[in-house]
Amino acid sequence: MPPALDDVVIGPESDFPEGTHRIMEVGGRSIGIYRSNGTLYAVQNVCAHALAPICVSPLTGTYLPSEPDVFTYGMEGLVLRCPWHTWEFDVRDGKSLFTGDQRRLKTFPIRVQDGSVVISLRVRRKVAVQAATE
Amino acid sequence: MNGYAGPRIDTDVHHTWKTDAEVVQYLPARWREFADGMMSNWPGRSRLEPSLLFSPLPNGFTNRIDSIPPSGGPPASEYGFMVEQLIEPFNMRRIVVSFEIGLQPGVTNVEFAAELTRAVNRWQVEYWMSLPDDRVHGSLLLPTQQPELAAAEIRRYADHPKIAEALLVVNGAGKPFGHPVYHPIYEAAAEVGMPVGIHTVGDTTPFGTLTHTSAGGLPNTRFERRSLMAQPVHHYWSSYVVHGVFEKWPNLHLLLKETGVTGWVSLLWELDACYDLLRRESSWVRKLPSEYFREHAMLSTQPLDEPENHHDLIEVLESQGGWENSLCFATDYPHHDTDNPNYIAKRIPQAWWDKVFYENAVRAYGWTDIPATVHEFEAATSLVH
Amino acid sequence: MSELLTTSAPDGAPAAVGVVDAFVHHQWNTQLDFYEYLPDGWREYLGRPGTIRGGRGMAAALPKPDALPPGGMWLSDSGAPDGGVPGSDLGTLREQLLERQGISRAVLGFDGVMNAPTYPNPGYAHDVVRAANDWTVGEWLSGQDDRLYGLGLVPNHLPELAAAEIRRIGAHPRIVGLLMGGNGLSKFFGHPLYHPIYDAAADMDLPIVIHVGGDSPPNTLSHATAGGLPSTFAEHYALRAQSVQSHLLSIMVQGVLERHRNLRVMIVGAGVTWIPGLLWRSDSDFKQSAPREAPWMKRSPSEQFLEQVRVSTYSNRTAPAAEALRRCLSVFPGIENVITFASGYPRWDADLAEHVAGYFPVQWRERVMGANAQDFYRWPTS
Repeated sequence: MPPALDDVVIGPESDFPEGTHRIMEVGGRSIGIYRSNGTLYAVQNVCAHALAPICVSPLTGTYLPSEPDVFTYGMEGLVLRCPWHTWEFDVRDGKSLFTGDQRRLKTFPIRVQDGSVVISLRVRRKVAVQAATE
Repeated sequence: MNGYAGPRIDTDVHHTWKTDAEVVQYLPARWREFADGMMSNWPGRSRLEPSLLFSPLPNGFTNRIDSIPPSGGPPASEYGFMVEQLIEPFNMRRIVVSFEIGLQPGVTNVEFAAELTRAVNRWQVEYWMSLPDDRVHGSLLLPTQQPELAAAEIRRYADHPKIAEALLVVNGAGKPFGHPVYHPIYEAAAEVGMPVGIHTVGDTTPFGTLTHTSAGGLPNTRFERRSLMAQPVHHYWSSYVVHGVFEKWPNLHLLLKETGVTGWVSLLWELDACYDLLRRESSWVRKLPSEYFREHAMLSTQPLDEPENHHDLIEVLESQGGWENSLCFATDYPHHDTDNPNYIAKRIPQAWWDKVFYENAVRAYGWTDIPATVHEFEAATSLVH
Repeated sequence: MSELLTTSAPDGAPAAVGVVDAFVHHQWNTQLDFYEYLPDGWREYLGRPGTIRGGRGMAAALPKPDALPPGGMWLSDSGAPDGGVPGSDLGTLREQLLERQGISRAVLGFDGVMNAPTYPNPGYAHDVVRAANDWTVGEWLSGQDDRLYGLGLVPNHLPELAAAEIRRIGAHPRIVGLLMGGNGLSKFFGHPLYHPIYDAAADMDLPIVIHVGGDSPPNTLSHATAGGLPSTFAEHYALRAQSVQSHLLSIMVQGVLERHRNLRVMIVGAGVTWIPGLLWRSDSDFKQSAPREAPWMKRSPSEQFLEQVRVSTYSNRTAPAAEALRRCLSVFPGIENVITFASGYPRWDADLAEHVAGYFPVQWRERVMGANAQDFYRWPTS
């Protein structure tokens, strides 16, 4: 059975308004927190390709797979495009938006509980030990 | 496996000015007025550059978003931030800066292009080469529409200790770079012992209607343009061989930047197989093209080809052999398609690290003021402690 | 080379295939041999020798290429016994290629006239292309030799008329594919302007062959090499893969192979060493750029390549030692289904079938020497 995840409170809901994103240190990792179309997302701030800080980028849309010579804009607010090599990922599951590449961003469960935003992840040991000794 | 912990040399970094005024101040009065007058010509267009083949990136930003300095100025315009983001974290013993990206020689007005190029070189010396940091070395931008002027510029800066190379970007004379029309440049460079760098993308200025950025027509997408980007430099390399540049100047060295690596394997095989043909048509070809390459050329690693399985790249390189001695690491900082040094370390054999990250570049640039090998470097630094 | 190779027919039974030569450069001995297929007006315009005193009076129907091999364009011993132009005499071709090299099927793909789409006069270019196609059928594919098949030359400078020509000449059972030779519009071959050609080709189930040299000066705005004009033929030759790489990439990026999953493309003349460089580089750029510039690409360039693209061994003369090339290409599983023997006879850089068969790994031999061409072209069913 996998070890249980820790719930980490990162702030009041009002700290994360619609259409914004922030990078925060949570449980020993750099994580990007986005609110888009009303939903919260938490993504590890490391691009699956070449380790760029991907959460510097806002969420955008993209062109959806289409027939030749057709451009169909969609997925507004769901696409995270890396600021380095412009790889695009679906913020909902971290999957890359082109066929054939299995690399994905690491995402974390995130929810609102009693007015606070909570991320579930395994807190890195070093941080846990530090916390324990403080 | 832990990553590479030794010193690095970054052979392709793009620095720039905060505002055009920093460069314009070095123009003669007549051209200063001209440049000031151009400011109102087109919104957002730099006065100091030609137009390029039109293929914008999303949001029009060609650099890493995270490379904007805290002050909000252009990426790679602040030394302090460059130290913080590039030099220190990646243990860069030396970087070679080469402008963003050195298109001034491609301004269509030939006289203005020459003055502008000279002004850029003066700016670099004043703003970057005068820093008390011997990790930052620079490139000398060459006004390629007039090779004699370029030669003069090389001789002018011959003794500057921090000018690492003479830099070719825009093809101003409409001939492959090895063509005799460019030989005054190599004569001067060899005379003063300066290597010559060639950086891609220079064939996308209006002069690229003479020297196309791709064969078969002009590319319709950024995708195609970048995938085919090495093609001009492959041709330029063949022209150095055909016109005997290394026979005439045996101490001349080239650094070929941002061409990728795998395409060269095919090119060197093809050229070597054409040895007999080459000799029929050129009196200058006395060695195999690949021999000239190993003796006189280095490739920067960025953008390193990235097959799904990184061992496949090494397999292809080893099918030809010798590549550990011909690659020099580069980030292409601050461009968006930069190579992260830790990512690169994972994709090349550990046995190649010392050469690719440090030793090949020291040799290519002929530096004698820093240790030639990583071993000597580490011995020297441990003595300090 | 007389051993028969076998491949499986769709019903699983082995079918004898033999060695298939995917590209042969055939041509007329003198343009007078071609005249009966030209419209009267052009025939008279070009004229005949002797119309003007001193044997003069005939304009060359085809321009002279600028990039000429110093040692001559063709194998020195490939002319007819009476001195005809190489590739023009059926008897010589039979003996030197089909018989001596054990070729069971050869696909005739033109020589100099393949650049007709680049001729500045669009009407002339179109009429020359049609006449060249009719001449091929009349002089080579009408019972002269059962082993001969042909390509339809595409007048790509006028894409709608090209589509009509594809349907016309492509109806002939011995036309097994289509040739994109000269670059009639000076655009990458995947540009939307060219798409009517691929629509018609897919309709007719005819594959497309792209031959090197279609961007050569002085009749095109496109260049055969990037970075300007090379000084030597040797460079022009060593760099010959550049333009066909551009055209192939464009075809993939502009969705031609996605729109037509049954369309097949073969690159002829550039050898095979360039494959890894293009595929890896374009796979990277696919990941960076395709969602916003080519959202119709469902497969990466290397996936499209392995499924729908073939590459001729011709010319293999610039390939390195066999083991080095095997090692280099083997990083692409399935590459043995891509590499396709073509002699390029009778050009100066042609390969002997026996050499090519021995050069590539023995496990690849059946595919390389016959099966891949068998699967590629639209052979007649009866």
